[in-house]
Amino acid sequence: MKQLALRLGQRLLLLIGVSLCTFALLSAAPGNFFDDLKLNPQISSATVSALQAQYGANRPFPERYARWVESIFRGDWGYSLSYHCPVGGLVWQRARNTLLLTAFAVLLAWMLALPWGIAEALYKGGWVDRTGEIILALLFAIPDVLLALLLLLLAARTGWFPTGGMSSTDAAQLSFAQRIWDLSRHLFLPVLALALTTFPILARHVRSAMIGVLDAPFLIAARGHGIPKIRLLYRHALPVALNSLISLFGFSVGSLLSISLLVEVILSWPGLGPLVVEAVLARDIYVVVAATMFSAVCLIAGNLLADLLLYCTDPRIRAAQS
Amino acid sequence: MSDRAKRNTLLSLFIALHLVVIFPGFFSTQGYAEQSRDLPFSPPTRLHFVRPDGHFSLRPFVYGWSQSALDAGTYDIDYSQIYPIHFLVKGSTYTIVKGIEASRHLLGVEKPSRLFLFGTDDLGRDEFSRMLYGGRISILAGWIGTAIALFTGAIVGLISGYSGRWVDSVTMRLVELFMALPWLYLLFAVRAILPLRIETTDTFILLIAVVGIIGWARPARLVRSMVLSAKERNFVLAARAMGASNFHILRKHILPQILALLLTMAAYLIPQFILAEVTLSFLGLGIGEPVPSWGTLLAELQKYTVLVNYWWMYAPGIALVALFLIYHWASSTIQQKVGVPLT
Amino acid sequence: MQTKLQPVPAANPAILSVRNLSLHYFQRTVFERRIPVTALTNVSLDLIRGKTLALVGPSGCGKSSLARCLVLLEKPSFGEILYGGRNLIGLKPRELKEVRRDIHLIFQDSASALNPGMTIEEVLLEPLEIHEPTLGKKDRFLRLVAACEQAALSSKWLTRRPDELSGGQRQRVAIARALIARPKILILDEALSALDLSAQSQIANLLLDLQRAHSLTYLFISHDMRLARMLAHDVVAMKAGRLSDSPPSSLLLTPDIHAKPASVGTVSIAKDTENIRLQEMPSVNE
Repeated sequence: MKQLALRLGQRLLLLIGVSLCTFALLSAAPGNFFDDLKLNPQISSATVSALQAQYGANRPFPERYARWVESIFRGDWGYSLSYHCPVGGLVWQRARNTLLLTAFAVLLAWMLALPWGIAEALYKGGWVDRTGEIILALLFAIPDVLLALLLLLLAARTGWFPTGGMSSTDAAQLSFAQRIWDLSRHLFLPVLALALTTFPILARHVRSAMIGVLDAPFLIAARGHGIPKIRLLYRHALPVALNSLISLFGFSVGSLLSISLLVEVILSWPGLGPLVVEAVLARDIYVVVAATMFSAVCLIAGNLLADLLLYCTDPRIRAAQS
Repeated sequence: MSDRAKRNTLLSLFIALHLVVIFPGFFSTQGYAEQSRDLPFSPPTRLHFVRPDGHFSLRPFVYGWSQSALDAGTYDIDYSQIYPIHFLVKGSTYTIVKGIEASRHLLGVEKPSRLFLFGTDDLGRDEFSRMLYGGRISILAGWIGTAIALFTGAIVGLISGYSGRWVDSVTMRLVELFMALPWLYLLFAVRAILPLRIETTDTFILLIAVVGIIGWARPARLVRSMVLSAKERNFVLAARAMGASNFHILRKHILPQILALLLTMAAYLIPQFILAEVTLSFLGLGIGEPVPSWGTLLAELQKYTVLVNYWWMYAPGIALVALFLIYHWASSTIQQKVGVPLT
Repeated sequence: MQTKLQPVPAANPAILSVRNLSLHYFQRTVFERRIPVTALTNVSLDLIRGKTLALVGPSGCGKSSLARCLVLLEKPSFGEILYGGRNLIGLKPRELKEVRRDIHLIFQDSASALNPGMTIEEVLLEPLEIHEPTLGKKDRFLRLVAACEQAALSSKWLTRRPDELSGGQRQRVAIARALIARPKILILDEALSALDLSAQSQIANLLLDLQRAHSLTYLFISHDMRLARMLAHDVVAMKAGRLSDSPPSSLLLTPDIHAKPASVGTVSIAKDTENIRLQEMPSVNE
């Protein structure tokens, strides 16, 4: 337990480091950010000076950082000038959409990767393995850009799926069940695109983890005891293999906010991705910083999750503590 | 096909692909900015070997074509106009390197016909030529970014692993920090602070350099762990017991292993950096008009009509797939040859 | 700090003396805890020129730590290593380099002691690169051939890599590598333990021949009493980092007819080294 607390502390320190980095990035934006604001005729000079005072733009770095951190704790992430609203709520809402997409996609990816990798490992060297590897290599070589475009083409040509967005235009009038159905229809393609791009790597790792376990002496000994193959697989081999995949799973969870950027842009899913792209094009720095911080937090949380899961499942680590 | 033959074909393919993008001027049929406004979105020019009268002609030829008067957007072929293809033709001038110009192209067709091997885009620019020039940008970005990431990472890893103690601890904390930042978002954040429009190739190289520097963390960690394990190997201890200096040990025992590791990592990183450049350009954050990049070419596909109707515009995507497959093969061959696994 | 060599009785010409050597360090575990480890406590021994001292003991008793201290891969926490009238521990790096030519360590695992990426020729030439970088190509070649001959290593192996050789051949390479710099003392850290029986006798005989020919001094570290008895003129035992007072039990089983009366702390086995020859088993592979 003490070990976990130590890890948590390390991660928190990491988070502080990340925030420092991102804030440094923020400060490094060329020119005074507020100069650009002043040029914008839509914003009155009174607003500009108010913002300037609020963010202490002319103070030394440590003070600005402290103010920024303090404002974050208050929930104030800055102001978006392209959307004319506070950044916090905007980013949070988009992050929720992204999480919806990526959660399903990661789930699907793992659901595909596990049987695929296990099957390949079980029939290593056979036609199952070789065909599987060829398909994986092909999928691995197709960039997410192309895959998303091809799925968009599919949607456009066949009309089976909507070509973008998260909900249909008449969503407000639909019943709850109909809205769920509508959401699923919109979710299908982005989730498929994301799952297909991420599952090849996972399948490869599952395969090598399983192969590592299947070759282990303890398994051969168990077989020698006469334990039937299926039971061997599920009770003995799989848990050990899954153990080594836990950190990979943690990373999957951690990357939830960052992997879907291109897919969201191409399939018009209103998530964090398109927001960040627009923000970069519009020089909306606070949005970019907030989005980066959100995904960094997600990554660190994913790593912590992996640590926690490892602690719970690997008896060796617990034993080493006592 | 035997293993050796297979390996040789793939190797030749690898080299050919890179040669073509290093000298796009020669292999392309025209410049990347030349427009033919009267032939927007024209499909790829078909090459024929059999003339209308049935004669077989060794030299391929194309028919004339123009926009249909009845149905704008489609093209009619004029079978009466026959333009044979010539090799090593004199065409528009291009620069090989700064200061050296040439004007010979591999393929060409007599005026007034034009040869669009991969069709045209909305401004009538030849997609094939644009793909070659774009390939140069994208692949170059991959190589430069990788080189910078590996170079910085290797130096940091070497120093960190060999010095040990607090230098090592501090460096590893930094590595953790950089790896805790989501790569793509960090890329965007860095991109945000650079000027919006990348006009010249120089600013583009600056962009790629910055992209490369972001990627120093993973190579540094791998190099450092290799140095650490190499430091404790018995043959290094034996050399030290024999009185070898640090320099001797680094040069003779550690460096060769690191080079092997770097080579393996390069084959793995180059496609990633190429994809990074393609992603940036696709979103309009990469190199600007009129210089093409595979990303900007693919960005056209975001328009509905292009996506659905003009299949030849997918060519850069196919090229990317072929590229990644070849690099994947190169990567596994290197890993086999050199025997350094990448965890 | 240099100490004057203590007067040594003429009948006991020690070429290398270890006095009160102690080694403490902290071991870092995976979870960042530091455990104090005492590897050696108050170890003293003498190496007599031209003779073999066997150091026996169970695994983990500190034998390898002592070996590493003697070639200065580890810095002892306390004590002296006296060689040529000087304490090796305080020596400056340049002087130390000269001394390193004379004392050479042969590892137990020959495979890991040779860089797998180098050819045997490169492995053997490395000591010359370190100590005699200005040596001409012809001279280097002559030394190479001489070392191979001494180690009974066929020159056909020069272009191969270590993983293509058998364990016995690799130890010959390690010995040749040691010989090429013309050492005076060889520290054999379980050098025969990883070999099969036929290779063991071959290498052991080789070592005996070399000792006779060049008046080499050996410190033979082993947990194998049989080999120790066969090679050594003298035996000391270690246990848990200290010299063991009681003589190794298996020695008492078959007393040697030439044995002199045992002295406290060591058991002396005198033998007529001229007539010793280990039975060579037919070798399976060469």
